[in-house]
Amino acid sequence: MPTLTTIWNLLRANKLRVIALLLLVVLLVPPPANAQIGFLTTLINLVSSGLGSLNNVMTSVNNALRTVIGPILEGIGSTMNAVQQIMNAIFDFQRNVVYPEAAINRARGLVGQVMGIYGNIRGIWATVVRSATLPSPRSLETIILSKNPAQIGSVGASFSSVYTPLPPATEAHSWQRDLIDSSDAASQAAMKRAIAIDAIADQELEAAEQMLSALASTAPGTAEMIGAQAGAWLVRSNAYTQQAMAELMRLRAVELAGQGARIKEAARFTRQTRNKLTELNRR
Amino acid sequence: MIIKLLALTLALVLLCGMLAPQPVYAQGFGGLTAIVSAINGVAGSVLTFINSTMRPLLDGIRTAANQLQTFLGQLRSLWEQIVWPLGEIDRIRGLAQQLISQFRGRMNALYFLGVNSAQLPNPASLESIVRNRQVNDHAALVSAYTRTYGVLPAANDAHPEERNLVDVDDAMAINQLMTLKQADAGADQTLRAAEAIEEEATRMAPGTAAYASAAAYLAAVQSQAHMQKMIAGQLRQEAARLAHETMLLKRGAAFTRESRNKMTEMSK
Repeated sequence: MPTLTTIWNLLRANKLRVIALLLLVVLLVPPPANAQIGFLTTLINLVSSGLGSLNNVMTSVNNALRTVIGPILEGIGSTMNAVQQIMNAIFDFQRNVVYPEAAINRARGLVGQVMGIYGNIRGIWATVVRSATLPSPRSLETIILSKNPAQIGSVGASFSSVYTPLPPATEAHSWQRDLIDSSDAASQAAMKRAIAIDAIADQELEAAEQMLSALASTAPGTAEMIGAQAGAWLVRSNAYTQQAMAELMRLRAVELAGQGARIKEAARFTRQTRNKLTELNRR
Repeated sequence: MIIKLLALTLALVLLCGMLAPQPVYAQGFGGLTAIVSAINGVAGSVLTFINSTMRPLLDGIRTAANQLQTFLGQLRSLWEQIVWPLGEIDRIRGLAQQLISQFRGRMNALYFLGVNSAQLPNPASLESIVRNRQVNDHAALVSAYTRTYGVLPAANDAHPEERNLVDVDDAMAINQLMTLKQADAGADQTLRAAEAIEEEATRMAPGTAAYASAAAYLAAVQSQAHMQKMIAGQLRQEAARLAHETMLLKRGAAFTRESRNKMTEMSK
């Protein structure tokens, strides 16, 4: 107690100094670091506020995703499911009704069957047909059945060796020579045309065989393309047939003209004979 | 004096204390606020992106998906009800079956109708061979032909030109008969091809009809080629016939010239 009394007396005696010292200490001592407790409180407040704000924004994002984007995506998903179902139905229809694999294989088998049949027909037409026995007829027959266009140049000579050449001017009347030359020309032209037609027909058969081979292994979607080519070849083939028919009709026209010319010549001969007989009677 | 000095000092110190700036509390809190603000900004941007960009985009996708669904539905209807209706497919197959039932037998009966008409043995034999649809009996055909139409005259029985003419005439005739036998045999095979295609038509699928039609076109091309061969044969025959007639004209001219020469010699 005496010690406290002593201190108290001392402070009272120097109270101004003490006050000044306290003020000085208060002012000079570095401000409190707010210790750790104040910092944490501020930090917590700040983080809490930030997180609250963030939570609000994220809630807005979540709500937007749920209420705006979600239904749209669900709608898209539902539509895509329906699309998938339709696509499946379409594929099933195509696979089972329009292009069944078994039918495709059967159709290819049909093509193979047709190829086989036309192979037989080709064999039939390849049978050698030679019937002439004498040298000149045999030579002519060989040429006109050769199917070789390179032989066309030999038709004239061979034809003359069988059917004899055009008589010279001293041996036949000019009208006869004209008639003979015209008829022989038509005959030779027809024989030459026959060689060309045989060659054309062989080429067509070869082209058709190639297209059948392609058809036997082609896809259903491209079969129509071969069909189009075949259609074009059919049109082409009709043109060749027309040409052959034209040659035949030309030949018959020349033949008919020759028959008419003979009647005309007979009439002229009759008239001349009658005139000569009339002259003889007058004498 | 000392007391006054002390009081003045204290007053200055107090003034400094009042005027001095407050502590900044370091940089820690300011950075955190900035980060939180940045996160808020990003979140706000995400929200804006969702509403102003993603939503219209997804709306567009949804519209496109709906249109796709409508289109595919229409496509399906088009294929299943308009282009390839199952009922129509069955009807066409039935038509193919009905055509076969209705016409094949009748047509074949007409096609294979016998028209042989010869009465005597040689012509009957020739006729039989000519119409037998075989192509491996050329020798029998030649034999039957010569029995019916006679053989080539011997060299001392006819003029060489006439022998040539007879030989080439016979050759052309026999060749044409042989060509016709080939044509008959070929026609039989062509009918087989046609029947195969008809049979396929009773069970073909719409997508495989192109095979059959292409095969039919190609068969038609080949048939045209064979018809051309027949026409070529006909051309040869007609040409030979015309040449034959013309040769008779030539021989007539030669005969007239020879007769005139002989008459002139006699009158001398």
